[in-house]
Amino acid sequence: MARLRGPSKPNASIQIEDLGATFRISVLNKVREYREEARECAYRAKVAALFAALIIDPTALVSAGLCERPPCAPPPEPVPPAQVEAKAEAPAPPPAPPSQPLVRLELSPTLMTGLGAKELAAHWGGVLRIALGRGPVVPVLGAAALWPANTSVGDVRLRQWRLPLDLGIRATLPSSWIDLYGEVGLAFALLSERARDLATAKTQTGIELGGRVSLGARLARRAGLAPFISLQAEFLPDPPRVFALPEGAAGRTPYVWMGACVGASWGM
Amino acid sequence: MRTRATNTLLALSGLLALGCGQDLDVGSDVLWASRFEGGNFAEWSSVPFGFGNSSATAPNAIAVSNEQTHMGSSYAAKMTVSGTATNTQGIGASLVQNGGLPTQAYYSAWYYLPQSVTVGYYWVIMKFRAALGNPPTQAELFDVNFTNPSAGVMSLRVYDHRNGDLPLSVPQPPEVPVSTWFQLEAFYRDASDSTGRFTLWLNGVQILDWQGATGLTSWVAWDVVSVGEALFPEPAILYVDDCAVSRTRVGPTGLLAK
Repeated sequence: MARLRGPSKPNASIQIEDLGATFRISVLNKVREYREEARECAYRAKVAALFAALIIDPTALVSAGLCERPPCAPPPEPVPPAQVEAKAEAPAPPPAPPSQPLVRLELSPTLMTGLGAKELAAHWGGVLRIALGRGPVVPVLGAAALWPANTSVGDVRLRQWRLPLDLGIRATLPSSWIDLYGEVGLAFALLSERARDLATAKTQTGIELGGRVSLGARLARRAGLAPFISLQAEFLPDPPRVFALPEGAAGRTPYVWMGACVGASWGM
Repeated sequence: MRTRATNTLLALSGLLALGCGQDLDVGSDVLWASRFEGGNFAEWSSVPFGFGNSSATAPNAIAVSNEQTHMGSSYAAKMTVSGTATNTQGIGASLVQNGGLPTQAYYSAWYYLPQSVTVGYYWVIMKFRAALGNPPTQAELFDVNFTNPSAGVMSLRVYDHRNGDLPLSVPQPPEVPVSTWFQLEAFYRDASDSTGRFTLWLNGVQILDWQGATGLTSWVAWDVVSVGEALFPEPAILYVDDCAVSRTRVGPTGLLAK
């Protein structure tokens, strides 16, 4: 290093600052920040030395004077760091693709409605979804808490409450600015119905079981918060029947539930 | 491993069974019903409205019977009247809901007439009573009667004790089937002004819709009866089953029990 500095630059110093997933190198008022998430000291020292050599005396790297012993081997090609964020004037090497987060949490308000009812029930509520894994296809689990809503089955007017759960897989198609994903899986729900205006009203709770598909889009940020939007449909082959006297079997609760979410996705 | 797979399959089967076509019984609009399935008339004595009773004065008779029943039930009420040639006092067989009924409700009963009967004077099968007169006293208001528009044909007429027969809202007298259960359902709204209403359906077909003042107080009585005069042949038998007072129409397909 002293030889690189030479007599004209006796106070040239090299500073390396650890910033976590990145590190900053300062040499002769030249500063550059590099991303290196593995935090390997040896690798960082090598990059710092190369950067310092380029800043202090780029020609020294290729001059014969650098050789300790003849025959002199050609100087090694500088190895670009894996991930670079350039802040200095020097051209930065191209960035390598970052890794996907291991866990993705999604929280959003939602609107769900069952199709086919005389009086369409609009359930507002919140949804929490968890996707686990880094691959393009990962398992996903979701749960929603929905506010009760009014609906009707046949001529029976009802107050309806629903607690849906689902378990499935998510396949993601990443791109430079937006990630598209689709989900398929099983849907379960607790469904509670209470007659609104029968002379003798009872609350009854049943279980729905069926399939679920969903499509979504998310801003392509590898970690931290990113907005997303998704649409989903649940298909129930044999939904509960609503029974009331004297009407008898008034009909079934919806065969198809549709929902929409707009919220925040947090990659960790 | 096999046990785990079996358990998983059992758990999935259980889940599927739970999630398949459950019945959610959310309640009832039927305020009171009598299906005679206890083999007695207890449903007519412990009524939630006022009081009720079943009665018949000899030679007339009322009994729970399994000879003819509606919709596969076990019992029905059998009303037998005879001696009607001299029945000037209107004595017969009666099931009575005496007072305390809602100011508006649907009243339904199923009847079975084993044979055609010639009605010489009248044959009442359903009756509404209300508070009439000044001062108001409990009195007969509307009678639903069997009648014969032609020989051997059974039909209905509605008699208002204040003004005589009410015109039906159908062009031809509705034919009452013989040897087949038929439903008679009425909507009665008790009001001392023009909002009062009396509507009648025979097997789900509306045959009368009358509006006007009915009772002067909220007192309402409903009778399912067999009271006649000059009936031939005798005894005249009428079966009754599945009677109900309901906030909504029962209709021909309605149920009184799950």
